[in-house]
Amino acid sequence: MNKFNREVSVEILVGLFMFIVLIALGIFTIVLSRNKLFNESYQYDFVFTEVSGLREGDAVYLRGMNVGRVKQTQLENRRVHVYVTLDLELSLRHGYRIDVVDASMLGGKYLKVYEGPEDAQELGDNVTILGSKPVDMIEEMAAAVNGLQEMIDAVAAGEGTLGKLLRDDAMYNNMVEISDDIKTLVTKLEQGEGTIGKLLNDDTVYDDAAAVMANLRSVSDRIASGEGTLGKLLTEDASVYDNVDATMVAVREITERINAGEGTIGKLVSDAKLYEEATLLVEDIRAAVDDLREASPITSFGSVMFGAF
Amino acid sequence: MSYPVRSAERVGGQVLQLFHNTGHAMFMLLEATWFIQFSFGKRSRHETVTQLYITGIKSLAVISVVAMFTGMILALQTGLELRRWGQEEFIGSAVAVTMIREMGPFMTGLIIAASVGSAIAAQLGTMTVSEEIAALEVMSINPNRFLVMPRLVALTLMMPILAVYTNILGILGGAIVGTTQLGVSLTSYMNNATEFATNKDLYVGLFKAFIFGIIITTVSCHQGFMTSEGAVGVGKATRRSVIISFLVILVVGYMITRMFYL
Repeated sequence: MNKFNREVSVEILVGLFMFIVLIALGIFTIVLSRNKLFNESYQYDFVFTEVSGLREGDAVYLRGMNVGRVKQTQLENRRVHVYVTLDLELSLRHGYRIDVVDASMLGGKYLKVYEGPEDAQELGDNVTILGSKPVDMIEEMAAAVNGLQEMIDAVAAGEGTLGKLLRDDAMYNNMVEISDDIKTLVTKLEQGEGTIGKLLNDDTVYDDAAAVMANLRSVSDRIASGEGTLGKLLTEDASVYDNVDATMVAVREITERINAGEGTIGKLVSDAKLYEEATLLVEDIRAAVDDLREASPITSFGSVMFGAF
Repeated sequence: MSYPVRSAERVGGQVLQLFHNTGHAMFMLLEATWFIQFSFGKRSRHETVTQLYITGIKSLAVISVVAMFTGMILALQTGLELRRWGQEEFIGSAVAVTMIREMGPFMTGLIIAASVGSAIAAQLGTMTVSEEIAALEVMSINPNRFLVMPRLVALTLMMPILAVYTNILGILGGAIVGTTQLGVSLTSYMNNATEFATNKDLYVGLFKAFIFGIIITTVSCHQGFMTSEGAVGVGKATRRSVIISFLVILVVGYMITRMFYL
């Protein structure tokens, strides 16, 4: 290879290397700028009273998905304008929320966008989108710790039930008394005093119960073996049942005949005329008795008078 | 003459020598910078391209190995610590940010200072002790234009390029360790790698590499021109050029980082 060709090949090699690395640098730049060159992007301006350290480059999340980045934060007229670039268009409705959220306990922030209820009315054009005041996690934790400290102080000072449990001897004394009472009660039970004590210590009730149970068992054995009326009812053939059944059939026939007005009793039950006649008869008998009662003194007098003769 | 006086005289002499050397190096750099306009001219083009080739292409092999293993070590060390907290997914971010901001330009600077810088110091030192530099001056050829300027152009152009190359290989090395040793998916690694690094990090890193290129050229050429005492002096000049380049790269690297990030 002559000198000229060698120089040319060196130049080509150097140029190629630089060209390749410069292309890589360009790709690097595009990737790190996080701009999607071929996708449409949407710019929004959120207005906050405070952003708690939200910075350029912080992520924007919609429904848990990263949809863009904070492009710039700017303090204007006592408000913080947060300019964001999103990959998709927001559909903000009344009730929307834009929150600055802690990315982790170690720090970092991101914007969380809630577009509002599905059935709410959409915001009009040229509406200022207001962000919510961020919750400072450190402040919240400090408040929680302060509350806890106050609680501990109150307990230490003997305030409240927990404090009294720790500080007041009354409950301890009561518990000692209860313990003594329980001890006395147990002693009495052990000595067989009272009903429960007797139940625990005296076998009489048990024996009586055992005897009752033995008797019941004897009765049930006798019934099972067909002794006595009950036993026979349970164990013998169906003659008793048949007799009762035949009797019931006969009673039913009689009842049906009475209902049909057959026979004397049937007529008595179903014929109103007989009732009326009977009523008239009773009235006649009552009238005859009344007449007889009125005529009785005269009859007696006549009998006496004429009996003498 | 008493000992303290002799000591003070020696220290004073060294301080004066330091000022003299610094001043000489600065004038050399300014003059070479002025001659950059002729870098791709008819008479300088060949030397400039040759230096670009030596700095860029000839260093690729060693830079590739160093960059790859730098990324792998970074990934392994940070990954093992992050695994204790179940956060090994973030090694991509750690490796990318560290490489782009600091380790890419820094490692490139060290490698070029040790390989190309030492070669420049040795070459110019040999030319100095063999009075070739004096011969050039006798022929009215400015050594700064003929020798320093092409090297300055080559290193200032190639250092950022090599830093980008180091960054890419370092991130790839981290990806290899992340996916094979730490169970991090390649997608997750790459997503995290591009999540936290910014263009500011990239270009501040490239600016560092550019400054490191100027430092290596200035220190190496100056040490070469200051060589004396024959072959032994060449060895000393080479050693000094590497040590001084390393120290200045470290200090200037810190100052640039502080300037842009604090």
